[in-house]
Amino acid sequence: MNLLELLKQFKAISPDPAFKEQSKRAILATEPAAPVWTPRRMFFRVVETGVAVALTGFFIFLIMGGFSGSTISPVQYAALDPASLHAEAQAIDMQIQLAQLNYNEVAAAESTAQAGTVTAAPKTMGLMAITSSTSSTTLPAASTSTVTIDQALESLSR
Amino acid sequence: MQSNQTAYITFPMIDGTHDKELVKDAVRGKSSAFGSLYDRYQPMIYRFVFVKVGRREDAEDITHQVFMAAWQNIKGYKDMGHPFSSWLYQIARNHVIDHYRAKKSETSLEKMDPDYFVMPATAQFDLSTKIEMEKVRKAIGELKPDYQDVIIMRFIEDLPLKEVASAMDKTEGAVKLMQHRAIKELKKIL
Repeated sequence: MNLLELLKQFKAISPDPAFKEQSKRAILATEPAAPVWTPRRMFFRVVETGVAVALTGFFIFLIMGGFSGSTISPVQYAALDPASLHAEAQAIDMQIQLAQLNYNEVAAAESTAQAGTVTAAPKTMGLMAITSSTSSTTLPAASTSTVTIDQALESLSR
Repeated sequence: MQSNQTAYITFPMIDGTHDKELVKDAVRGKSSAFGSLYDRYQPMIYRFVFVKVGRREDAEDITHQVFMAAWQNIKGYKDMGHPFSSWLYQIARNHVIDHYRAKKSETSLEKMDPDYFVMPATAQFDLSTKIEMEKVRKAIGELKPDYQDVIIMRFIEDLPLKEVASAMDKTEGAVKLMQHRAIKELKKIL
């Protein structure tokens, strides 16, 4: 017989039912002993409780907004500060305008390129021909492509 | 006292949730709950001890001591997420070690009568199977204690790796390696 199969046969070994009942009765007739509080056990229990309390406090502090800024006050929410909210709103407005500007630049470049391909000379003329034909087109959007970011920012600030 | 008389139905299959409830009640001192745990785990602890010590009387004595120790210390039991059986196996291992320590001073195993070690409660097997089983049991006895434990828990009791690892206070990887070596060693002995 295979060794593993033979080992499975060992599961048939069982204690004598009479012994089982007698042993159970004898065990349950006694009372379980109260846990003994040794100094080592007490020390570990104190450390365990202390660590649990400290960690709970730390997480509550973090949830209340601790360490979010330079101040350590947990009740002062940076997100609810009116001054910072105002500054944030202004920044968003500026970003929208810059995005619009960027879009205009891209649209102008695209329309210029399209115009260039329409009037483009044969391929043999190369890049110079395309550049020259592009410069010859006069589209109203082309004027916006000359506005730099610095100029746009300056105008916005004004 | 009334609460101590609560009747528990013992299921043959190990049910984790039901087991945890029983353990909780036993920790509170309910003897009926511990009685149910005894019914559930006593056969496997008995087999574990029997295969290791090889003598019915000793196996019965040690099994009794294991459950007595478990009941006496049940109030100090802390659920660390391991199965209750792991705790019982740990107690059983310690008691078997104590048994051998005490036995060593009394007499050596070689001097004992070979008929002293006979397979009990295996009447359903034919003679050749019984002889084979006794041969295997003796071979297991020649293994290192850790290898013996792995063979019994993994191949006789079919316990999952995780449970064996927590009972032996080892990692699952270590248990895997040990079971491989133990089987190899056992085959060599046989």
